[in-house]
Amino acid sequence: MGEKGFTVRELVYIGLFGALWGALEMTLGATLHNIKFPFTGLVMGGLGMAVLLTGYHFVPRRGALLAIGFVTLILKGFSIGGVVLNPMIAIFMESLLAEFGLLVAGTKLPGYLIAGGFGASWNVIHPFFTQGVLAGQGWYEILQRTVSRGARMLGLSANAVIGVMVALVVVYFLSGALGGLVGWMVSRAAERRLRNFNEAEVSS
Amino acid sequence: MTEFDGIGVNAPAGRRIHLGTRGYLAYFLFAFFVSVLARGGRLFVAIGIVVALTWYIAPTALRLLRDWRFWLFPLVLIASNAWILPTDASFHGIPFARAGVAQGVQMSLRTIGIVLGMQGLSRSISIGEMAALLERVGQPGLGFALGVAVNMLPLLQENMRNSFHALKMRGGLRRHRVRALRLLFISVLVSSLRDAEDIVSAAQARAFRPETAQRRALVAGCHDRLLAVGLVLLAVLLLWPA
Repeated sequence: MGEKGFTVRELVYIGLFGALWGALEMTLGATLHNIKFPFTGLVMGGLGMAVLLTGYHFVPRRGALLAIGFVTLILKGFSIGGVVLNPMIAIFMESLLAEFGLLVAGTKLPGYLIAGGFGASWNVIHPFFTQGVLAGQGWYEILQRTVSRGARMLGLSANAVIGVMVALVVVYFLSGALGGLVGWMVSRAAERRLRNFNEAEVSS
Repeated sequence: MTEFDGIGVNAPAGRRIHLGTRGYLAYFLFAFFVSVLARGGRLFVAIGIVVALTWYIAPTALRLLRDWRFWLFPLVLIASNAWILPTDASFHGIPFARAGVAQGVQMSLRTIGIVLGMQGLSRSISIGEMAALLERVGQPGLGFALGVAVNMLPLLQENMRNSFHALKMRGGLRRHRVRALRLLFISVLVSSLRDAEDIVSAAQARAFRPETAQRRALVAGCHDRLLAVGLVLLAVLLLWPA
């Protein structure tokens, strides 16, 4: 959690961005899961990364993304109805990978893109972990299912297993990177607007 | 008492057992580990125990089993396994793989055990108690952040509604929808950040510091230890190699 722990302001911002991501997961995420929307992880991964990396601009500390993810997953755990364990695992791993992305790629725009990409890419591995490790399903069957769904979405042949998997990773990475870009732009726009508000308040 | 103390609390009424946060945590950990680690016939016994325990200590979690949508996932698991493997039997002329059905049932049982454990924990302890647990595992301030998050949810909803109506009244959604969405997101974010600043000011005015803040006490139950010891013994029995 950084050198000295989070300040009060940082903790409040962590709570705010955790609530924002949590609200998205509890409303849009739950709806998409319930209507069996294909590749919900692609949409929610990108949106989650946008919120998470916007949050990093306001809490630029190591461990901030993990803390925001932690608050989000607890909120998700307390949301009403449905199966919440899988999204909770996904939220934790996405924030962990995004944190790792910022660690290796820095905190400028390329770092945001890579962190977002890393975080959203977890959604490709997610079924292997939740259905394979937790539910004990054979990895071959999960691979088969993932490849056939991926091939259908991308318009590729299901026989090109490696090709489809690589394409899926690229698509998920790009959705996360797009989320990172949105986070980068929105956070700066919001900061500018906030500064204008504060200046207007001081002058009045 | 904070504003989020009541959320998630649903202690069973009329039961002789009295559990606190640690008791419910022990129940969740038991449900999780036996569901993941038990093999073969013992898995059925383990899930039976988890269901019975849930019925006794967190009965509202069992409502999940009454939701037909919940059963879709296990059914899909069983069906997909029954036809993925080479078929060796048939039911009313429909071929299926016995090994696949067995595998699907096993996966479904694991899912039910873990989900019940999670639901039981979240329906039985308040978010405030969860925050207190977090404070105890070396995350000073994270409980405070969680409390802020819970209290921010209605504010976010209000900000979202206000910004959406303001945008709609100005005709902002008729053209340039992507730009309108971006503006909507930024205005919600800015108003939420301003609300967050108010919370910061309030906390600072009260000289709140996360590292020196008094830890919230965990709710203690008189049967916590008894349940924890019993569950550990039960888990050892269930997971002991045959």
